[in-house]
Amino acid sequence: MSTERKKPGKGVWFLPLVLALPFLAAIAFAAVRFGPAVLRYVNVLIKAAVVA
Amino acid sequence: MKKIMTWLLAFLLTGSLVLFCVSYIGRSAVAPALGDQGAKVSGRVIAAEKELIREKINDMAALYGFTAEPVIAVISDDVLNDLNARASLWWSSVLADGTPGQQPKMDTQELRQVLSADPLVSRGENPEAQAETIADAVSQGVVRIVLPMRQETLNIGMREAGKRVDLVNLFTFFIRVPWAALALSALLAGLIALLESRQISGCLKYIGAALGAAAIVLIAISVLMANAGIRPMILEASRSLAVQYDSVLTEALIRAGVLAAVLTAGSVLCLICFQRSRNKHEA
Repeated sequence: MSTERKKPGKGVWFLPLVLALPFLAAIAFAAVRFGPAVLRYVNVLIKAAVVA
Repeated sequence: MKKIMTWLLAFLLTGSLVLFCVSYIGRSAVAPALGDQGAKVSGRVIAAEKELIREKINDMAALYGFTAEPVIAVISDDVLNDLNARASLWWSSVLADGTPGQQPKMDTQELRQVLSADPLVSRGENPEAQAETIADAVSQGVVRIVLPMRQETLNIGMREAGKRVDLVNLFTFFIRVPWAALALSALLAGLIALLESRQISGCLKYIGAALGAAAIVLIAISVLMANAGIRPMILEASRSLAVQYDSVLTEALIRAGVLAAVLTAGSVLCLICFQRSRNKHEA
Protein backbone atom coordinates (compact mmCIF):
# COMPACT_ATOMS: atom_id res chain seq x y z
CA MET A 1 0.00 0.00 0.00
CA SER A 2 1.38 3.38 -0.91
CA THR A 3 2.18 5.62 2.04
CA GLU A 4 2.65 8.72 -0.13
CA ARG A 5 0.36 11.52 0.98
CA LYS A 6 -1.87 13.07 -1.63
CA LYS A 7 -0.68 16.59 -2.44
CA PRO A 8 -3.21 19.03 -0.91
CA GLY A 9 -5.32 21.34 -3.04
CA LYS A 10 -5.33 19.33 -6.28
CA GLY A 11 -9.13 19.26 -6.42
CA VAL A 12 -9.28 23.04 -6.41
CA TRP A 13 -8.89 23.06 -10.21
CA PHE A 14 -12.25 21.29 -10.61
CA LEU A 15 -14.12 23.88 -8.56
CA PRO A 16 -14.87 26.20 -11.55
CA LEU A 17 -16.37 23.25 -13.42
CA VAL A 18 -18.46 22.21 -10.40
CA LEU A 19 -19.70 25.79 -9.95
CA ALA A 20 -20.48 26.08 -13.67
CA LEU A 21 -22.48 22.83 -13.77
CA PRO A 22 -25.85 24.28 -12.56
CA PHE A 23 -25.57 27.10 -15.14
CA LEU A 24 -24.66 24.66 -17.92
CA ALA A 25 -27.57 22.43 -16.94
CA ALA A 26 -29.95 25.44 -16.99
CA ILE A 27 -28.63 26.53 -20.41
CA ALA A 28 -28.96 23.00 -21.81
CA PHE A 29 -32.49 22.69 -20.42
CA ALA A 30 -33.53 26.08 -21.84
CA ALA A 31 -31.97 25.25 -25.22
CA VAL A 32 -33.77 21.91 -25.46
CA ARG A 33 -37.09 23.05 -23.98
CA PHE A 34 -37.50 26.53 -25.49
CA GLY A 35 -34.85 26.60 -28.28
CA PRO A 36 -37.00 25.26 -31.16
CA ALA A 37 -39.94 27.56 -30.31
CA VAL A 38 -37.68 30.62 -30.02
CA LEU A 39 -36.01 29.77 -33.33
CA ARG A 40 -39.41 29.43 -34.99
CA TYR A 41 -40.42 32.91 -33.74
CA VAL A 42 -37.09 34.36 -34.85
CA ASN A 43 -37.58 32.84 -38.31
CA VAL A 44 -41.08 34.34 -38.63
CA LEU A 45 -39.82 37.71 -37.35
CA ILE A 46 -36.93 37.79 -39.83
CA LYS A 47 -39.16 36.87 -42.76
CA ALA A 48 -41.72 39.53 -41.79
CA ALA A 49 -39.22 42.32 -41.23
CA VAL A 50 -36.78 41.78 -44.09
CA VAL A 51 -37.13 42.70 -47.75
CA ALA A 52 -36.04 39.68 -49.79
CA MET B 1 -23.26 27.25 7.66
CA LYS B 2 -20.56 29.77 6.78
CA LYS B 3 -19.27 27.45 4.07
CA ILE B 4 -22.75 27.12 2.52
CA MET B 5 -23.16 30.90 2.59
CA THR B 6 -19.79 31.40 0.92
CA TRP B 7 -20.57 28.86 -1.82
CA LEU B 8 -23.93 30.51 -2.36
CA LEU B 9 -22.20 33.88 -2.76
CA ALA B 10 -19.69 32.29 -5.19
CA PHE B 11 -22.64 30.92 -7.18
CA LEU B 12 -24.26 34.37 -7.28
CA LEU B 13 -20.90 35.91 -8.23
CA THR B 14 -20.71 33.50 -11.20
CA GLY B 15 -24.22 34.56 -12.25
CA SER B 16 -23.48 38.27 -12.00
CA LEU B 17 -20.17 37.86 -13.90
CA VAL B 18 -21.98 36.00 -16.70
CA LEU B 19 -24.65 38.71 -16.74
CA PHE B 20 -21.93 41.38 -16.97
CA CYS B 21 -20.21 39.60 -19.88
CA VAL B 22 -23.40 38.93 -21.86
CA SER B 23 -24.84 42.43 -21.36
CA TYR B 24 -21.45 44.04 -22.05
CA ILE B 25 -21.14 42.16 -25.36
CA GLY B 26 -24.74 43.15 -26.26
CA ARG B 27 -24.10 46.77 -25.30
CA SER B 28 -20.87 46.88 -27.35
CA ALA B 29 -22.79 45.69 -30.42
CA VAL B 30 -25.41 48.44 -30.00
CA ALA B 31 -23.36 51.33 -28.54
CA PRO B 32 -21.54 52.47 -31.74
CA ALA B 33 -24.92 53.21 -33.37
CA LEU B 34 -26.00 55.47 -30.50
CA GLY B 35 -23.82 58.47 -31.45
CA ASP B 36 -24.95 61.25 -33.79
CA GLN B 37 -22.62 60.10 -36.58
CA GLY B 38 -23.80 56.47 -36.70
CA ALA B 39 -21.63 53.35 -36.56
CA LYS B 40 -18.76 52.63 -38.91
CA VAL B 41 -18.81 49.22 -40.55
CA SER B 42 -15.81 47.04 -41.37
CA GLY B 43 -14.17 46.96 -44.79
CA ARG B 44 -15.27 43.34 -45.17
CA VAL B 45 -18.95 44.33 -44.91
CA ILE B 46 -18.45 47.13 -47.44
CA ALA B 47 -16.69 44.73 -49.85
CA ALA B 48 -19.49 42.14 -49.51
CA GLU B 49 -22.16 44.84 -50.02
CA LYS B 50 -20.30 46.10 -53.11
CA GLU B 51 -20.38 42.60 -54.54
CA LEU B 52 -24.16 42.37 -53.94
CA ILE B 53 -24.67 45.85 -55.44
CA ARG B 54 -22.63 44.84 -58.51
CA GLU B 55 -24.94 41.83 -59.03
CA LYS B 56 -28.05 43.96 -58.49
CA ILE B 57 -26.92 46.70 -60.92
CA ASN B 58 -25.96 44.09 -63.56
CA ASP B 59 -29.48 42.62 -63.29
CA MET B 60 -31.01 46.12 -63.55
CA ALA B 61 -28.81 46.94 -66.55
CA ALA B 62 -30.18 43.88 -68.34
CA LEU B 63 -33.73 44.88 -67.39
CA TYR B 64 -33.67 48.65 -68.09
CA GLY B 65 -30.98 48.73 -70.77
CA PHE B 66 -28.00 50.79 -69.54
CA THR B 67 -24.23 50.29 -69.15
CA ALA B 68 -23.61 48.86 -65.70
CA GLU B 69 -19.94 49.68 -65.04
CA PRO B 70 -20.16 53.54 -64.81
CA VAL B 71 -23.16 53.18 -62.48
CA ILE B 72 -21.31 50.63 -60.30
CA ALA B 73 -18.36 53.05 -60.12
CA VAL B 74 -20.64 55.75 -58.61
CA ILE B 75 -21.38 53.50 -55.60
CA SER B 76 -18.00 54.11 -53.97
CA ASP B 77 -16.77 53.08 -50.50
CA ASP B 78 -17.55 56.59 -49.20
CA VAL B 79 -21.16 56.40 -50.43
CA LEU B 80 -21.60 52.98 -48.81
CA ASN B 81 -19.92 54.07 -45.55
CA ASP B 82 -22.27 57.05 -45.36
CA LEU B 83 -25.34 54.90 -46.10
CA ASN B 84 -24.29 52.31 -43.49
CA ALA B 85 -23.78 55.03 -40.88
CA ARG B 86 -27.28 56.36 -41.59
CA ALA B 87 -28.70 52.82 -41.52
CA SER B 88 -27.16 52.34 -38.06
CA LEU B 89 -28.93 55.57 -36.96
CA TRP B 90 -32.17 53.99 -38.20
CA TRP B 91 -31.49 50.98 -35.97
CA SER B 92 -30.62 53.18 -32.98
CA SER B 93 -33.86 55.10 -33.56
CA VAL B 94 -35.78 51.80 -33.45
CA LEU B 95 -34.06 50.85 -30.19
CA ALA B 96 -33.93 54.22 -28.43
CA ASP B 97 -37.27 55.78 -29.50
CA GLY B 98 -39.26 52.63 -30.14
CA THR B 99 -40.13 53.83 -33.65
CA PRO B 100 -38.25 53.34 -36.91
CA GLY B 101 -36.62 56.58 -38.04
CA GLN B 102 -36.15 57.96 -41.55
CA GLN B 103 -34.93 55.31 -43.93
CA PRO B 104 -31.59 56.43 -45.43
CA LYS B 105 -31.77 57.90 -48.91
CA MET B 106 -29.09 58.08 -51.53
CA ASP B 107 -28.30 61.22 -53.47
CA THR B 108 -29.17 60.36 -57.09
CA GLN B 109 -27.69 63.43 -58.80
CA GLU B 110 -24.40 61.77 -59.79
CA LEU B 111 -26.25 58.63 -60.90
CA ARG B 112 -28.53 60.71 -63.14
CA GLN B 113 -25.54 62.48 -64.70
CA VAL B 114 -23.81 59.19 -65.44
CA LEU B 115 -27.00 57.66 -66.87
CA SER B 116 -27.77 60.72 -69.01
CA ALA B 117 -24.31 60.40 -70.56
CA ASP B 118 -24.87 56.69 -71.27
CA PRO B 119 -25.44 56.16 -75.04
CA LEU B 120 -27.86 53.28 -74.35
CA VAL B 121 -30.10 55.61 -72.29
CA SER B 122 -29.76 58.73 -74.46
CA ARG B 123 -30.91 56.75 -77.51
CA GLY B 124 -34.45 56.51 -76.04
CA GLU B 125 -37.41 58.85 -76.49
CA ASN B 126 -37.11 60.75 -73.20
CA PRO B 127 -33.55 60.24 -71.93
CA GLU B 128 -33.92 62.62 -68.93
CA ALA B 129 -37.00 60.85 -67.55
CA GLN B 130 -35.46 57.46 -68.31
CA ALA B 131 -32.24 58.39 -66.46
CA GLU B 132 -34.28 59.60 -63.47
CA THR B 133 -36.34 56.39 -63.31
CA ILE B 134 -33.24 54.19 -63.51
CA ALA B 135 -31.38 56.34 -60.93
CA ASP B 136 -34.30 56.04 -58.49
CA ALA B 137 -34.50 52.27 -58.99
CA VAL B 138 -30.73 51.87 -58.52
CA SER B 139 -30.67 54.05 -55.38
CA GLN B 140 -33.61 52.11 -53.92
CA GLY B 141 -31.84 48.83 -54.67
CA VAL B 142 -28.64 50.06 -53.00
CA VAL B 143 -30.52 51.29 -49.90
CA ARG B 144 -32.32 47.94 -49.66
CA ILE B 145 -28.98 46.13 -49.66
CA VAL B 146 -27.64 48.36 -46.86
CA LEU B 147 -30.92 48.32 -44.88
CA PRO B 148 -33.17 45.49 -46.04
CA MET B 149 -36.00 46.16 -43.54
CA ARG B 150 -39.74 46.58 -44.17
CA GLN B 151 -40.46 49.88 -42.45
CA GLU B 152 -44.25 49.49 -42.44
CA THR B 153 -44.17 45.99 -40.92
CA LEU B 154 -41.73 47.16 -38.26
CA ASN B 155 -43.90 50.17 -37.49
CA ILE B 156 -46.88 47.88 -36.86
CA GLY B 157 -44.74 45.44 -34.85
CA MET B 158 -43.28 48.24 -32.72
CA ARG B 159 -46.73 49.71 -32.07
CA GLU B 160 -48.06 46.31 -30.95
CA ALA B 161 -44.98 45.55 -28.83
CA GLY B 162 -45.18 49.06 -27.32
CA LYS B 163 -48.66 48.27 -25.98
CA ARG B 164 -47.25 45.40 -23.90
CA VAL B 165 -43.77 46.61 -22.90
CA ASP B 166 -42.09 49.98 -22.55
CA LEU B 167 -39.40 49.43 -25.17
CA VAL B 168 -37.58 52.72 -24.58
CA ASN B 169 -37.23 52.15 -20.82
CA LEU B 170 -36.26 48.54 -21.44
CA PHE B 171 -33.48 49.64 -23.78
CA THR B 172 -32.26 52.36 -21.37
CA PHE B 173 -32.21 49.72 -18.62
CA PHE B 174 -30.30 47.27 -20.85
CA ILE B 175 -27.62 49.88 -21.60
CA ARG B 176 -26.91 50.23 -17.86
CA VAL B 177 -27.03 46.51 -16.97
CA PRO B 178 -23.28 45.77 -17.53
CA TRP B 179 -22.13 48.38 -15.00
CA ALA B 180 -24.79 47.33 -12.49
CA ALA B 181 -23.71 43.67 -12.88
CA LEU B 182 -20.06 44.66 -12.47
CA ALA B 183 -20.87 46.60 -9.28
CA LEU B 184 -22.86 43.61 -8.00
CA SER B 185 -19.91 41.30 -8.75
CA ALA B 186 -17.56 43.57 -6.77
CA LEU B 187 -20.06 43.61 -3.89
CA LEU B 188 -20.37 39.80 -3.89
CA ALA B 189 -16.58 39.35 -4.03
CA GLY B 190 -16.31 41.78 -1.09
CA LEU B 191 -18.88 39.77 0.88
CA ILE B 192 -16.94 36.53 0.19
CA ALA B 193 -13.77 38.23 1.43
CA LEU B 194 -15.65 39.43 4.51
CA LEU B 195 -16.93 35.91 5.30
CA GLU B 196 -13.44 34.47 4.84
CA SER B 197 -11.72 37.32 6.69
CA ARG B 198 -10.02 34.95 9.17
CA GLN B 199 -7.80 33.60 6.41
CA ILE B 200 -7.81 36.03 3.51
CA SER B 201 -6.34 33.51 1.02
CA GLY B 202 -9.46 31.35 1.61
CA CYS B 203 -11.62 33.82 -0.32
CA LEU B 204 -9.34 33.37 -3.37
CA LYS B 205 -10.64 29.80 -3.74
CA TYR B 206 -14.26 30.97 -4.04
CA ILE B 207 -13.52 34.02 -6.19
CA GLY B 208 -11.21 31.99 -8.46
CA ALA B 209 -13.83 29.26 -8.82
CA ALA B 210 -16.51 31.86 -9.69
CA LEU B 211 -14.26 33.53 -12.30
CA GLY B 212 -13.46 30.15 -13.90
CA ALA B 213 -17.11 29.07 -13.85
CA ALA B 214 -18.14 32.36 -15.51
CA ALA B 215 -15.55 31.74 -18.26
CA ILE B 216 -16.90 28.21 -18.84
CA VAL B 217 -20.53 29.42 -18.98
CA LEU B 218 -19.57 32.29 -21.32
CA ILE B 219 -17.83 29.87 -23.70
CA ALA B 220 -20.90 27.57 -23.60
CA ILE B 221 -23.23 30.50 -24.43
CA SER B 222 -20.93 31.62 -27.28
CA VAL B 223 -20.83 28.11 -28.77
CA LEU B 224 -24.61 27.88 -28.49
CA MET B 225 -25.14 31.29 -30.15
CA ALA B 226 -22.70 30.51 -32.97
CA ASN B 227 -24.43 27.18 -33.70
CA ALA B 228 -28.06 28.20 -33.08
CA GLY B 229 -28.82 28.17 -36.81
CA ILE B 230 -29.93 31.82 -37.01
CA ARG B 231 -27.56 32.60 -39.89
CA PRO B 232 -29.20 30.22 -42.41
CA MET B 233 -32.59 31.81 -41.57
CA ILE B 234 -31.21 35.32 -42.20
CA LEU B 235 -29.39 34.16 -45.33
CA GLU B 236 -32.63 32.73 -46.66
CA ALA B 237 -34.40 36.05 -46.03
CA SER B 238 -31.67 38.46 -47.16
CA ARG B 239 -28.07 37.99 -48.23
CA SER B 240 -27.11 41.55 -47.30
CA LEU B 241 -28.51 41.19 -43.77
CA ALA B 242 -26.54 37.94 -43.42
CA VAL B 243 -23.35 39.88 -44.21
CA GLN B 244 -24.15 42.41 -41.46
CA TYR B 245 -25.14 39.63 -39.03
CA ASP B 246 -21.81 37.86 -39.71
CA SER B 247 -19.93 41.04 -38.88
CA VAL B 248 -21.85 41.59 -35.61
CA LEU B 249 -21.56 37.90 -34.60
CA THR B 250 -17.81 37.79 -35.32
CA GLU B 251 -17.23 40.92 -33.21
CA ALA B 252 -19.38 39.51 -30.39
CA LEU B 253 -17.49 36.20 -30.45
CA ILE B 254 -14.13 38.00 -30.38
CA ARG B 255 -15.31 40.04 -27.36
CA ALA B 256 -16.58 36.87 -25.66
CA GLY B 257 -13.20 35.21 -26.30
CA VAL B 258 -11.30 38.14 -24.79
CA LEU B 259 -13.61 38.25 -21.74
CA ALA B 260 -13.33 34.46 -21.28
CA ALA B 261 -9.51 34.72 -21.46
CA VAL B 262 -9.49 37.51 -18.85
CA LEU B 263 -11.81 35.53 -16.55
CA THR B 264 -9.69 32.37 -16.97
CA ALA B 265 -6.48 34.29 -16.24
CA GLY B 266 -8.09 35.77 -13.09
CA SER B 267 -9.29 32.32 -12.03
CA VAL B 268 -5.87 30.68 -12.54
CA LEU B 269 -4.15 33.50 -10.65
CA CYS B 270 -6.56 33.27 -7.70
CA LEU B 271 -6.38 29.46 -7.52
CA ILE B 272 -2.55 29.38 -7.76
CA CYS B 273 -2.30 31.98 -4.95
CA PHE B 274 -4.77 29.95 -2.87
CA GLN B 275 -2.89 26.69 -3.48
CA ARG B 276 0.49 28.23 -2.60
CA SER B 277 -0.78 29.81 0.60
CA ARG B 278 -2.47 26.53 1.58
CA ASN B 279 0.69 24.53 0.93
CA LYS B 280 2.70 27.04 2.99
CA HIS B 281 0.11 26.88 5.75
CA GLU B 282 0.19 23.06 5.85
CA ALA B 283 3.99 22.94 5.78
